Amino acid sequence: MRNRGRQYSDAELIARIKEDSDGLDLLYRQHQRYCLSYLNSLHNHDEMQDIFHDAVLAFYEKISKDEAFVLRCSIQTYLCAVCRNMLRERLRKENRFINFEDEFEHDNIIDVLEPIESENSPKMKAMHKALSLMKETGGKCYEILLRYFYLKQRMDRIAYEMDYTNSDNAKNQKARCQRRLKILTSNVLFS
Amino acid sequence: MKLIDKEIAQIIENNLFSDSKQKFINFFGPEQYQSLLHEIYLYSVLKNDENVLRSLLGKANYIIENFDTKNVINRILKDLAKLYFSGFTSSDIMQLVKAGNKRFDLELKALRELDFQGNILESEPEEKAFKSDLVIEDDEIERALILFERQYWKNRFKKIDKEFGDGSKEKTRFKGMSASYEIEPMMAMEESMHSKSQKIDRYTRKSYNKSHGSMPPKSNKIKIIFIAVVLVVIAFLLWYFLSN
Repeated sequence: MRNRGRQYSDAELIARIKEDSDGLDLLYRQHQRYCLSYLNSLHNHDEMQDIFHDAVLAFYEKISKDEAFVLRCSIQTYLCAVCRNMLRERLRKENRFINFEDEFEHDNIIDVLEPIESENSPKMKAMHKALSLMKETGGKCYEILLRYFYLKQRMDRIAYEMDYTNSDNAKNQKARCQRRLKILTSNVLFS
Repeated sequence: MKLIDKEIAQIIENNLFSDSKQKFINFFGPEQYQSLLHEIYLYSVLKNDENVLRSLLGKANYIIENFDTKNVINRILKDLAKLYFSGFTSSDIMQLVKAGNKRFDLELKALRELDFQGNILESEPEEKAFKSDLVIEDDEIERALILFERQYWKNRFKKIDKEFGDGSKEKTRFKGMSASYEIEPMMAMEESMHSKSQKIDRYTRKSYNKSHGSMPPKSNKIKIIFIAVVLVVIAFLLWYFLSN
């Protein structure tokens, strides 16, 4: 976090992101200035920072969730391309249609941060609160749900990395955590 | 390590409140002491794990030493075993106990509705009907987790921005440097308003691209002064030659 001066290679950054959560902080800080400059060179928009946040998250979700994803350019190029796609998307929503004339060619990258279905539904908000409680109070539930549903890890890997004796134990624990999430969500929804 | 009932009883007798046994009996009375022993015994039989048992006893001792309200102690003790069945580790439970109960009311309320196997206990008819209606599909959990993680990271990025700056200097430096055009007339007007700054920006952009992110020139003041001086010199020379 404090090592602002050091520049990490793409491979190092990806390894750090997969290894621990600080990796994404490093990536964010390393590419923030360049990507924001690039975005501002395309267009003046109030939400550049937000667009960059989304671009970093899009990259994060790709490398952590999508096993088929292969990065065919530098992280910087990828982030700029996603920033550009998302800026275009936002302007389109505002009924503003812009042709960018930048000299970076990212046309083969079409990724954006995917919108989530029924994001603002009461149930989704209650689940959000329930997950927050789960994470706050500690325990392994949040982590096991994250690994299984978000990172799509296999049970044997979860068992190994979370120190369960075997994958059946991890599976039982996951089922208990799912029930716990359901109860917490119910309580939040109707409290 | 699997234990037989006799061993469990022995461990309870040897460990529970070994230092504060009398204090506890005085506080609750012998009857409740026996009842508590029985409860812990039952938990241990269900779990049948020495480490869990020892840990439970440790927590029980800690609670007796640190809390002095009967209701609180009772409640926490009853919750302890359930916490184990819900994915908490020993240190998590200690943290929970230390933090007190207010913060975790909702969590504990939920846990009280589970039996020892983690199944949902029977509840009031209305609540029961609602709970059986609520179905959470796997893809909903996935979506909720994605949203939660996104929110978490965005908050974290905002913290980084606060700590190290958000790149707003870059915004100023490249302000108006739009290399884009818009089809809508409104935007065309906006663009023409920025035409002056665009000239400067094209220059800075060239410099920026060459050096891949190095600082562009700070201003064009020097350039303007130089042109003005040249014009004055030319005017002076013209005047001089024409007048002679």
